[in-house]
Amino acid sequence: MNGNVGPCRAVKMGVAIVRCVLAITPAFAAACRSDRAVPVDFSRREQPRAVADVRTDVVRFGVAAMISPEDTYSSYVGFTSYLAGRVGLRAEMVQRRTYEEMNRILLGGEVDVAFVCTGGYVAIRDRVRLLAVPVVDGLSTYNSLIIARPSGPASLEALRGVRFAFTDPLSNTGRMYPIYLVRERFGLGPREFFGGVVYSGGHDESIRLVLRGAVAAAAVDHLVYDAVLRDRPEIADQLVVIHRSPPFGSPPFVARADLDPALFDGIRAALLDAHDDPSARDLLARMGIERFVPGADYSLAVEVARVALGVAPEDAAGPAGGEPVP
Amino acid sequence: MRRTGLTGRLASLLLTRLFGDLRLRTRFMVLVVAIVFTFATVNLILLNRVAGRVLAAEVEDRALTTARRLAGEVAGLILIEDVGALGRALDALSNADPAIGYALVVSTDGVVLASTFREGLPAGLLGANAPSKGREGSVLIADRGAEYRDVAVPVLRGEVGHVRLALSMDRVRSGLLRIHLALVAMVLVFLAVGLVGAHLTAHVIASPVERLAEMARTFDPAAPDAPIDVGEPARGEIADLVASFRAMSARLRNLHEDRQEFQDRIVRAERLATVGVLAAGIAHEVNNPLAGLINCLQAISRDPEDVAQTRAYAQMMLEATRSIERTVRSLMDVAARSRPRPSQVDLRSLAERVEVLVRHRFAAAGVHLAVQAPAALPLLRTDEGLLQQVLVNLLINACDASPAGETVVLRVREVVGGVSFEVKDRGSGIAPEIRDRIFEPFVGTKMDRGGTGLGLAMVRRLVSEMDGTVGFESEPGRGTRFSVVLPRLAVDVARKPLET
Repeated sequence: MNGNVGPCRAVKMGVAIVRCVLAITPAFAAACRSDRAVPVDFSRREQPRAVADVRTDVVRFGVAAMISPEDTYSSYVGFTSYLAGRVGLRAEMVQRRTYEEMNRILLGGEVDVAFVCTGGYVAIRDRVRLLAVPVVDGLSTYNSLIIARPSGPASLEALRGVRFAFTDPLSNTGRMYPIYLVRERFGLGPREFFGGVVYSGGHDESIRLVLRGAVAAAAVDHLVYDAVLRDRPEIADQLVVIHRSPPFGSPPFVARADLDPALFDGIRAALLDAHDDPSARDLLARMGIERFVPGADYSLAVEVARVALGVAPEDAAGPAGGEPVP
Repeated sequence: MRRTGLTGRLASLLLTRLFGDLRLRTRFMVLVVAIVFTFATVNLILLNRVAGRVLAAEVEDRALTTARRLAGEVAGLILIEDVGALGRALDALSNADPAIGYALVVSTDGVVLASTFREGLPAGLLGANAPSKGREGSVLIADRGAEYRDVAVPVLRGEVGHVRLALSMDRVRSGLLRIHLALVAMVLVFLAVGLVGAHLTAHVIASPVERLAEMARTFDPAAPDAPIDVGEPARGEIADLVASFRAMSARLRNLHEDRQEFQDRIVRAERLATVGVLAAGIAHEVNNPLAGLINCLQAISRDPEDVAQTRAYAQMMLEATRSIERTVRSLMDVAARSRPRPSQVDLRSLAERVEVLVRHRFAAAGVHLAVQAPAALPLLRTDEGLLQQVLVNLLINACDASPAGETVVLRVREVVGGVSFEVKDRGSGIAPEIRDRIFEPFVGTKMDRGGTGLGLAMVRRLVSEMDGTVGFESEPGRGTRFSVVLPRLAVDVARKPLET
């Protein structure tokens, strides 16, 4: 036998096998790729398009967020398109975080038409034109509810020293009214009466805060409260209403003061007869609105705002008004 | 006979082609290496396929999940047009997860509202994954070495835009790398275990075989039956092989014994034959002194008073009796002996005794015998009878082969390391066709003239008993020369008992 040749051949054979493996592997690995990559050179950058055509064929709708922006969008986008279509234009829906911001872009002319809250409206009511007021459950009014958990405060008196949730600084039902109530009943400012105050940003969020126990009580729009209970009936026995306000004029549709009168009239007409248009009926229902009426009584809201803000509401809000005094 | 199937034949052909003359150990190791590497290749391919896909799918899932969450978070920010908050949300997300390559928020009309890129967008990135309205998209983006799983998720069913999120595929790459490293480690372990196993297996198989081969090489049929020890407790094929070897060695040993016995018989038969051949000469050798004895006795009995004559005759009678005794003893040396008796042999007197035994035969055939034995020959320690038998046989053969009037020469001389005995005739020679077999029993040149054919067989046997060698040179018609060489020392006949 040849002892020298053996191991040498064995090594050669081993090398040949390893070579085969190495040759096959990348081919298989490449074949295994399920999808092909799109080549993009990250070192070559391009600046985004900064110039766009100015659009004149649109009517811009502002919607003050009484609920979350997403839900607001879903509820209102259809109806704003409908309204714009009625006047031969396209709709563009604009939302802002607060009523205050919405008031400002309306007064500044960034939006043409806006669905504002009652508190916001009374602050700028002589600088805008009222288009229409929604009717819900046969009423063009709504109430503020002070809610708590069944184990929490059971009366207005019991709210003294507890943590309380406001919605928005300009909200009538969510902030102005409870401040008004505390001033009228107890002669105290909100920070003197309540143990602590937070701003939730929306009525649905205030309800969640109460349910979670983050606050002992909150003031909310009764329409939102009813809608939440309709969606989640299981939470009905986890909440109690400890106070209900007198009726306020509902949050209205308004237009900026310098809006083209023809456009103003067209939109107003569309609002007022939308409930007769079958194609708008679903869109109204999505907003929870039966129809629109030309006006409502906002005198109580004005009085509440005056007491709550300590000044006439129109002096407390506006382009240069700044943050209202809590 | 075991029948080998077609596959078995193919496999053995393949193995022969592949391994040729490799040792068993090397073959096993090559096989193990081949098996382990085949295993590794299959594993590598499968793992690359399966793990690569699973990891890639996991990255895609994670990208989609993150992007959906992001889409939910940014919906409100898009709606209130808070681009600053959008940017902060993207930054917060990409800071929280280092696997995120980049993220974008794109409006329905294709405007990038926010992105994690500080300075412009990579050219072509926006178009690389443009989702159709309301549907999620997923593409692989490659930027030189880096790869990203880029997913597009619509925001509010795509009505306000979509988010793009890219996760680095490094996770897949590092995952595969980890798997490959594990595989390499596994292969090395398998290789080590396999090689050790192959080595052990080859050892278990080869070492008994090697031991058997060694036993076969050194097999001595004359030696007593030794146990076959192959080291490992032999089972299976090795046990079969050991059993076959044992049976074969037993057969060889039996054959050897038979042959031994046969050769002993040859020797016995040939000795008796030699006695027969020598009988006439012996009778003559005994007859002459006997006749002398009788004459002396008759002369003494006629005149017993003649003391001087009686004394002279007694001396002659003693000589005659000694001659008879010598002749008879030589005959007994040739004829039979129960045990070999090594002794110091005086070669010159041995030559003379041999001459006495055969001279009558030579005389009868008219052939001359010339004995050339120098005086200064060394003493040789061997069995005198065996040696005498060998020389007598060779001389008688030479005599028989020689025509009348020729001379046969017996030449004894010292050679290097021993003593050479040459018997040379000018006879008919040995026919070429039987030369190769001339030492085999029943082969001879005078089978037709009453030869037994056993003479040379016996010669070879006896020479081998004495540790010597025997050879011949022959030319037909010109004669034959047999030569026997015995070593001077190292001869200890007693070591190899010869049964007679």
